[in-house]
Amino acid sequence: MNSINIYKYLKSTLVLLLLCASLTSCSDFLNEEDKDLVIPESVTQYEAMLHKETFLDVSWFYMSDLMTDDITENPSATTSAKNTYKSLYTWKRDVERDGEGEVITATNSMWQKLYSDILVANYVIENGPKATGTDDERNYLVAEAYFVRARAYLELVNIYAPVYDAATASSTAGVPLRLDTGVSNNYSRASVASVYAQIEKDLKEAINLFGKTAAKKSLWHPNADAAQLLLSRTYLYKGEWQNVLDATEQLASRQLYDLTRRPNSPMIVETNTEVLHSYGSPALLYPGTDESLGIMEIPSIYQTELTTCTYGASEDLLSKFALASNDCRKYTWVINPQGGTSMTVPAKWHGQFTQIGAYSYRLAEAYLNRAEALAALDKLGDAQTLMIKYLSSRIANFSSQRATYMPSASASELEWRKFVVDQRRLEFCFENMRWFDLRRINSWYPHTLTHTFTLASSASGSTNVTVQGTERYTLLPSSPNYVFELPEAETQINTTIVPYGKREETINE
Amino acid sequence: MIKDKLCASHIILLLMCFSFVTLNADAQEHHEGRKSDQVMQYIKGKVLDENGEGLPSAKVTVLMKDGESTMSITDNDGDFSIAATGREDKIVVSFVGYAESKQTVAKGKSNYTFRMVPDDKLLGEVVVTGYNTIDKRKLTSSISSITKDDLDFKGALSVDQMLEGKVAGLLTLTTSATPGAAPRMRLRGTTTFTGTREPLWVIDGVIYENPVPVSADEINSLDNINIIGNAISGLNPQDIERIDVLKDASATAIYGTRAANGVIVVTTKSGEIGKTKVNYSFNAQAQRRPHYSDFNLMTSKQRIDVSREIMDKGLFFETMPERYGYEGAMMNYWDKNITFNEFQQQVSQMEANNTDWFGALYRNSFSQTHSVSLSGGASGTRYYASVGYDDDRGAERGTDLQRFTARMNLTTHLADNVTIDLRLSGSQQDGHYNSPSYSAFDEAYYTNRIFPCYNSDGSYSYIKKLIKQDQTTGQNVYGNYNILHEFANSGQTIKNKSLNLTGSLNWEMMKGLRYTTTVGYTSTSNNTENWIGENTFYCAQLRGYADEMPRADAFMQAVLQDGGLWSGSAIDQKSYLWRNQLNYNFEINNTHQFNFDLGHEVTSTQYRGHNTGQIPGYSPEQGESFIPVWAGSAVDAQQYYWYLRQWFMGAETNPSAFPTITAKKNNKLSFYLTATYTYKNYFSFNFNARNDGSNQFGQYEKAKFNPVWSTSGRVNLHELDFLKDVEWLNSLSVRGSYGYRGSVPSATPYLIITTPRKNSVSGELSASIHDYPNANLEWEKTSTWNFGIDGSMLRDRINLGIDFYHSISTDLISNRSVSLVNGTTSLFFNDGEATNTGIEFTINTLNVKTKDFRWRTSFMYSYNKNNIKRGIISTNTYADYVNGSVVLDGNSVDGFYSYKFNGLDANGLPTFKNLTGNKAELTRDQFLQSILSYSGTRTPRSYGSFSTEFAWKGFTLRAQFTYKLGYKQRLLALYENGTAALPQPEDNMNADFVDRWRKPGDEAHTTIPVLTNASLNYRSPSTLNSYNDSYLDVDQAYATYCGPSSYTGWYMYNNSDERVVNASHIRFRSLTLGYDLPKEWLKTAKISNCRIDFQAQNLGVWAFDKKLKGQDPDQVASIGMPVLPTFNFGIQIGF
Repeated sequence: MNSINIYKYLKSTLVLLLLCASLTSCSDFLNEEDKDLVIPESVTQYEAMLHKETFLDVSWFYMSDLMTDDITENPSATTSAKNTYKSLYTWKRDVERDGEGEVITATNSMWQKLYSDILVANYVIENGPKATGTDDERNYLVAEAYFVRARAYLELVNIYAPVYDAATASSTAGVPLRLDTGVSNNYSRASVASVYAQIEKDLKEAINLFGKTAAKKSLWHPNADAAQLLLSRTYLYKGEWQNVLDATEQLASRQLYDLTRRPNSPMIVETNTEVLHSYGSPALLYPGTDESLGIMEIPSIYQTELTTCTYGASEDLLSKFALASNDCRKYTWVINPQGGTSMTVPAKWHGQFTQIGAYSYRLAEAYLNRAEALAALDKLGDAQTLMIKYLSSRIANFSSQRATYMPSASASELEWRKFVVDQRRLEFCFENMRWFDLRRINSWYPHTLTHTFTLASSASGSTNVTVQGTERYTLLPSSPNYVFELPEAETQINTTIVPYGKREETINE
Repeated sequence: MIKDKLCASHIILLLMCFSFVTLNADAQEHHEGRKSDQVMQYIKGKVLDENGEGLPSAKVTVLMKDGESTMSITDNDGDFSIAATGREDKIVVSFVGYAESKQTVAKGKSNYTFRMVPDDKLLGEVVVTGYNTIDKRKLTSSISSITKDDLDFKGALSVDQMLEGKVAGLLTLTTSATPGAAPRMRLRGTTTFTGTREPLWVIDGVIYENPVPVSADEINSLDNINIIGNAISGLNPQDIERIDVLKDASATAIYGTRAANGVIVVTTKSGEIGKTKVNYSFNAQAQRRPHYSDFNLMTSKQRIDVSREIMDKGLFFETMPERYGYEGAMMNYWDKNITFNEFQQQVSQMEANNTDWFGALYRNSFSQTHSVSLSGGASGTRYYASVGYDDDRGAERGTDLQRFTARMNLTTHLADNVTIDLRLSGSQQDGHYNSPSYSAFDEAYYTNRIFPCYNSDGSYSYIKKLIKQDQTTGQNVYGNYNILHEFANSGQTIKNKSLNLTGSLNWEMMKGLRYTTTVGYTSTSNNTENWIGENTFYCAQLRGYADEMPRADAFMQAVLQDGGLWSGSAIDQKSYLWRNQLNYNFEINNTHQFNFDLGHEVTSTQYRGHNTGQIPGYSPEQGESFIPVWAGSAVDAQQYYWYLRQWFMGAETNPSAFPTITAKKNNKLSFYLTATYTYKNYFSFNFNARNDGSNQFGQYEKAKFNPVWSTSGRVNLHELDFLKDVEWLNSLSVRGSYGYRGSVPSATPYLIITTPRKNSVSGELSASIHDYPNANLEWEKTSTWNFGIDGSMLRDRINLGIDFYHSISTDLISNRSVSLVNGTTSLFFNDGEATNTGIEFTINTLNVKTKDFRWRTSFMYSYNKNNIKRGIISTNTYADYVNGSVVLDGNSVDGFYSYKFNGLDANGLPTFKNLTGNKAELTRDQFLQSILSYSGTRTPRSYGSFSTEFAWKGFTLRAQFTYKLGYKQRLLALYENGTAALPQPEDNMNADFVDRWRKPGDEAHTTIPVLTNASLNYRSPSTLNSYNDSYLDVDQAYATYCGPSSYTGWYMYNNSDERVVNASHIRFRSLTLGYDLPKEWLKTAKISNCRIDFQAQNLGVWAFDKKLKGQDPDQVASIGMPVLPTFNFGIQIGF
């Protein structure tokens, strides 16, 4: 009898115990994590990572300006000071060598940095929707990740692949598309067309998600407007003019910041409604230093002292501005600290210009994108109206100079397109835009670039520089060197990927 | 998806339980029904144990002719009464540990007495896996068992130290004789590159974890001593009943993913029914300290001769030697500070000193262990209780360890068919050690014997050692240094506490169906303190000045202004386990036997604790307090704070003062199944499967669960017709198994970020990536074959066992360079491949057996070859090659590399092959592989033991030898740390230097370089064209890769193949003389047994390589003392 009672008792406990087991194990038992490591879980943590990895630290590609007609060397600087970036400045076949032939990887580090951005974006796209936070916060977070991925692919495909040509894009090798967090050592290039298709898709998804959130963030974060602007840029690079018009319709109707009225206060500030988004911290300009510097400073190659400055703004660029005193862009964009004939250097990273990031998305680009599309579609009247609006916000007393500075209404379509592109160069000089533009305009607006490189040395301890000679390099509009070769670190491990292999040696004439 | 499956399997398990419960209830009713309608007679009886006392709880079964049976249990006095029909029924009495006893019911007889005979053999005929107990005749896998009698290595604090040479396939490497230091263990080689390589410890069915989470690198490193304690630190060897070592895939499959390195299952003692027995055991151990005769070092006279030669030759020192020793006296004489007479007198004093540093730092130590246990039981309740105390004193002065252990094991029957087993144990261990900032061995080995240790008045004698050069004044600042003073003012304590509870309930639901639930809870806490006092040289170096009050600027630049350093850590571990298991076994026609186990297990291990980092200001003299950092004036403070910040930030030279938090959690959810089919006694077939889910894969659903399975079989050939009649053959069986398992990688698949903090540019929270995600990370996989033969012949005079295994491990995690498209340059990748092949052979013979005399021998041999099929592709440095952390194809994971020595040149300087003339365009690794050669593995390829035992009447004499073959070691550095060409006055030298190169032509017969001041740095571009013999020529393109930038050649010499020895050796591990006092003598004192043992351990070592010159081959790595001769006296008394 006694034993039967025990059975009953045991029976009920057993059932109870097993039930407990099933319940606990079916819960999050296997999802618990070590707590001494920060594995992002909340939107706040994901945002912190996204912020640091993709908005504060951005690609080193600002050096792209070294390869454009906006930059020239300082003939008074020594060869050794200029050697680091000589391979870029003189469009060498092998950019991963400095002027002395030593291996240098920084000059081709965009590949890794941009794919690192893509990894972060992929990770957020995969895991962000499960992050703890409100729907608004999650949507904003994931939208940002899509934006980052699109931005990174647009840069990658324009650095490492030939320029978009609608006729051949689907058969031209672009860059590998990595859209998840899976790991492989064998990535192949996707076609240029499919990379662009992905960029479009990501941007539309970003715009869609930005539309689903009521969250408001500082300009350090992208938003629907910035995504719309980047989309119009993507269409512009593809030459899809109607799409450019559609994408800029709303943006180009908004008021521009009047540079002529407030020339002495920084332009890139939180309250400026022309600024849609701003990013990039001094950390990218000074590799190795942390962001604790806290202030925007000019990159070391554009040092303001004559002897330490290695590269600066080219005469060609400076001459394109309207009358100096009237063109507010010129004295906001560049500074000439020494005066006279000494080097003029960019000021776009300077605290006088920006209180936010080093690069920015501005309404001006929507105007210029749209104007270029209008010109291309032969809607010259509309283009003219738009350009007047733009230039009035940049040049003091523009109406008085309009006739001399602007093509007439009867000028050709091509003349208008060239004019818009020239204005684009002035608006976005030193902002990593000119190299991408040169690539796409060379077919109808060819530019032959010439860079001189002065060989100079100084005795140790002395500031006197002895010039030993001058080298001269030319980049033809059709040059294959408009495409970068893959980093050696990539081709050594990834045996599947096809190197570009077409770059040519540039020769000192 | 996986979660759904999981829940489904739960429900199935639940349903099965329900159905069994129902079944059981039916069976119960049926049983009662039958009883009532049959005419029965009741018979009575008594069951006695070997001492003639009543045996309670024995099982009495009556087997009736019609196939029916009844069952009963004896009462407290061993009496029973049971129903029988009386027509030739058989009464069977059984009890664990005793042979079954049978009698046939005779007509008219109603009282039966059974005298039970203990069956030791019967106990030995099972193996315990922690999940079930298997009859050895049905054992299909490879398991080695050791009983308590085999654990005869006296005085060992923990059982892992006792296992050397006891189990074929288990390699034990004793790296240190320091109290509490755990040996390294490898079971059947290594199947992982980055994961831990130590086996899993299971005590009474519950996995025990390390008290502190140790990284796999630290656990695996053969150059690292673990004194923190391991999983079994709190286990008293006296409490152990048996140990089963699970080796092949079939044996370990039930442990799933944790079993990658094998499982050691420990079963603790249980009480025996009968009157209470008290056992006391005591062991005293004396350990002989190391002497200069154990090493090949110079006396002070020999050393002065070297100094004299240096001065006579006019060799100048690379760095100015300090003014002490011979060189110091000489300089003082040159500077006319002392007269020639004084000089002579000082030198002869130094020659006479011949200080015994080993004597100063080591001692002949005395340790003792005490253990008392109680065991007994009655009326279905059995208990075992014990307390133990160990006082272990190390040979190194200042090291000792005290441990207290207690255990209570209780088994009781709640009902006829319900048993509860409770095991509660706890321990406390306090270890005291010298400061890890210094190595006592290195100090004794490398310090010049000309310096006295004490002054004539008994106080410490100091040498004035350089602290630094003052940057302001340009003056050298000195401090007092004597290692004994440093040790007296520093220390380390490690305290471990553990509390463990295991409870299990065993419910015999019906015949053949058993439900077991087990709950295990283990908790440990580790507390470590480490301090070094203000007046040590160590702290003086940190301060930048010795005792005197410094100038204000020096004071402000000193981070450590007041007090010494202190760091502490406290880590708690707790883990729990809950397991439910159903066992069902049945037999068809006495021919087909089936056994099934189905189980479900939840385990969780958590670590929580902190480590403070190095905190300045510790002042034990002022009442164990800290002196707060100095505030000072605003101007002065600024400079000070900058230095302090450096300290707290963790600058390169200073340790960080920031604490680190440990908070880890490892959860696992598992299901398992075993199925065994046995046909008669002929053959058995077994299948095991287990599915483990781990939180280590968190969000990665596809990798969360991993099935582990195995299949195995056994044929008992001796039962088959053609062998049945072979007389000399007692048994012969073959076994075979194949299994597949995955193991949790040591890398994490997660993306880990740094702690988010406000960014000063954007003002927003920002965090960098700390670890890139390894989303593809999967379980490491190993498949293993095992074949075994077991046999015994000539009436069990010869027993032998052979096992052969081959395992292939794939998807091993390695950190390798990856395509940059992955967003980073290197990632953990399931990429590696390795194999392990081995043979294990054991033979035990009983050579002579007469009434009073027995002679047994036993021989054990294990061979393991670890072969890397696909290693880690990454960029390695010279140090990675030299210290053996490279994992390259075709090598062993414990392999290391050495420079290729090419003899001495005409100046007596060492030269090396391939440093010059290399092809252009080599990668760093290609160049290093050209200048370095593979030396071999640091773990023995073959190892084993030989032991022999003579027993005559009460005396036993046993000798055990162990051997390790086929591995390499590096000799202790000839030039300390590879940094000095000429010995500094404070350095002692190896006596090998006596045979050094002295004159041209000597290079033909010696490999010991000349005494020289040549730095042998490699030529850098700046020194390329300066003609100087003291540079080493290396191809310029690779020069920076070849070795350290200073004293390159000397580093190479220390790490050259010339300094590599074959470490193969035979060790005389123990010699034991034991005596069991005759029972008659003890009777009057009411003592039931008494045994006395004398045991000498580590009596000698025979190495095969002459270069060792008699040195212990395990001593060549300078990480401590591996083993020392020890002498034990032990006594065991039972009441």
